[in-house]
Amino acid sequence: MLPVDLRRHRWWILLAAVVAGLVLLGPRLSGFGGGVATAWAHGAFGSASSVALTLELAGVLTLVGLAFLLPFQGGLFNIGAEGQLYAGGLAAVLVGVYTSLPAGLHFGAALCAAALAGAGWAALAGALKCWRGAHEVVTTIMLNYIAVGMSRYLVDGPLNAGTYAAQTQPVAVTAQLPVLWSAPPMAVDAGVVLAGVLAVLVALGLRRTVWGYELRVVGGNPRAATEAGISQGRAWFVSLLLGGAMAGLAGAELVLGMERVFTATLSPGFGYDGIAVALLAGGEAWAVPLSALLFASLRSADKALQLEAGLSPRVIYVVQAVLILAVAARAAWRPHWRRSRPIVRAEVPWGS
Amino acid sequence: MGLLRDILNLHLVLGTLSKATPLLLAALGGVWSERAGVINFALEGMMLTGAFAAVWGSYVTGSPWVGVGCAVVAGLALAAVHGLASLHLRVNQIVSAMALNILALGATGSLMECVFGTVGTSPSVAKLPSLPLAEGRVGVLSIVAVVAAIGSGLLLYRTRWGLAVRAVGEDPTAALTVGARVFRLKWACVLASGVLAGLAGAHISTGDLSQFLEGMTGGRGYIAVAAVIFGRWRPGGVMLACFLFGLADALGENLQGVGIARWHISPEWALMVPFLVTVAALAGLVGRSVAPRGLGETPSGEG
Repeated sequence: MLPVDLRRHRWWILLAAVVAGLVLLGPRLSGFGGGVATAWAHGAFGSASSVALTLELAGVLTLVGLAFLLPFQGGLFNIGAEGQLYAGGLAAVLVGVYTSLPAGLHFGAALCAAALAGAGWAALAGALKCWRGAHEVVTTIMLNYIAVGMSRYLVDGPLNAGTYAAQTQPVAVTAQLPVLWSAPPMAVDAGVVLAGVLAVLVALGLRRTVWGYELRVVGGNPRAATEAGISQGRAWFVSLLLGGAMAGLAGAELVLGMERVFTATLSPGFGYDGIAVALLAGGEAWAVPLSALLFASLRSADKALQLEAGLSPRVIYVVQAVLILAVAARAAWRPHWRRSRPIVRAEVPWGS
Repeated sequence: MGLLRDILNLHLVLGTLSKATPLLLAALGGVWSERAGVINFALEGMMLTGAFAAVWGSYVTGSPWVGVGCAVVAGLALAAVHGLASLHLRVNQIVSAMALNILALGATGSLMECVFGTVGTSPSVAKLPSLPLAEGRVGVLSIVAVVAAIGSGLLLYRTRWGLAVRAVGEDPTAALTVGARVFRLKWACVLASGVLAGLAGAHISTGDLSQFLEGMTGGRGYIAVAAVIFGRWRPGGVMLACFLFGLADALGENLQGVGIARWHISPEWALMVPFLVTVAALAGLVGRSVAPRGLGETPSGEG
């Protein structure tokens, strides 16, 4: 019993949504439209250093997008990229500050450590999911708060550089990611290329390997997976491990590339941005870098948007939410004869 | 043991009640929504919006009761979007909820700049009244929460309507064939969860404190979801779970005060206590809890 046929009235609903959005932004409407677009373009691509910042952030967001996307292919919701990012950043700074290795090896070792740490942090949620049936959305979010809390403790205490700032010592020069293009004060480093390469590898892995096929079957139809003898638990666990490794690498990129130190405010919620990045990419790994570039441009333009268009930097979250809902609801907008079944069904096994 | 007396005292009991109140209200919302088969991870966003609306209402009119009304309306508004997206637009219920939580974070943060002209913290507003108990005071919404828990239990297990809700959550098709109005029941339960989560937000901002802080719910909505699972989707069990998590929260706060001086516990660890307890509770869930069978399904057909 639908009170009204929503599909027949979809344009009215869309209009209502736009009006609601305008009301929400009402007080900022003066000079709207043109002002926002130019501020956005100017802030994200207006100078060499802002282009570099946008690209760097796109690299980080690509990785956290993959961190959400991989388990999502198996029907899992990894909301824990934020915590996995901190775990990875922490491992990277430990290797980068407290070990000394030859130039070529040092940053590679730090990246490996970060990937392992991110995977390890995700493995906690994976183990709780596969063996105790604890819902991954709750556990990954709790683990985010724990990771940030532990980071805060470490930079205040044991790992503090001995200054008043709550940060660690800077990583050794040998552990910093190689700079590809310098645009002072920013620089584009090898991490951006790594993120792009990993997106391609994940896309190939999901489409062209047995493992990727099995994961998608588990996500698309768990009962068929069981009938076919595919281990749901193993597919889930491995996807969470790989997702965690991606988020860990994102943390390493921040530490070894952009910040050079580890702080408890390393990420202003990049891990959560990954959800929007992956969903806007429609669950396709090859599209993740493009979607990441869009959100990175918003993030890097936040100061310009605030100063030139008077938009609060928090508006990015409103944009994210509206995009997620619009993309997720697109099946309902399609005419019924062109509607196909969703790829990932919302079959979420609770507890049992 | 002087140490224990510093931590285990009446202050802790009242602190537990106050910390458990928003969890209980939100978790009861979760019980209603999920017993009707709609996953509700949007409790966090509904609470945050409710907390903001309560402060706004109290700020504009000077009456915290108007604030509570605004919080209820705000919770309802988010619940309506969740219902629309997940019941009619076939959006994955977890995706819809995550979008709403992100929306709530962004909208309350930027609206605060518009309405109060401040960043991060709102001005102080009038608080909700509290009643004296022993040597302390109990917030009025704490009493509402306990009454709501008992009422929910009676409604869910002792009325025909409650039976219909449970049937819809277990198997919508079967419920439909015996004449239950599936969509209407699901909608009613989702909206009820918005009301309860809005009240939870009002307690956090105008019952416990007297102002709004950006992102002030700080994951409590997800702890409420954990309490729903831990309490096995039953109001009684959920109440016990919320008191356990509330105790962890209050202990953490007490530890912050006492532990630093006596035990050299850093405040960061004390603040992590509720999250650690939640993970431990879900990890140690004996016998595993069983969710309503139709949870997360998008209903189809006429209802």
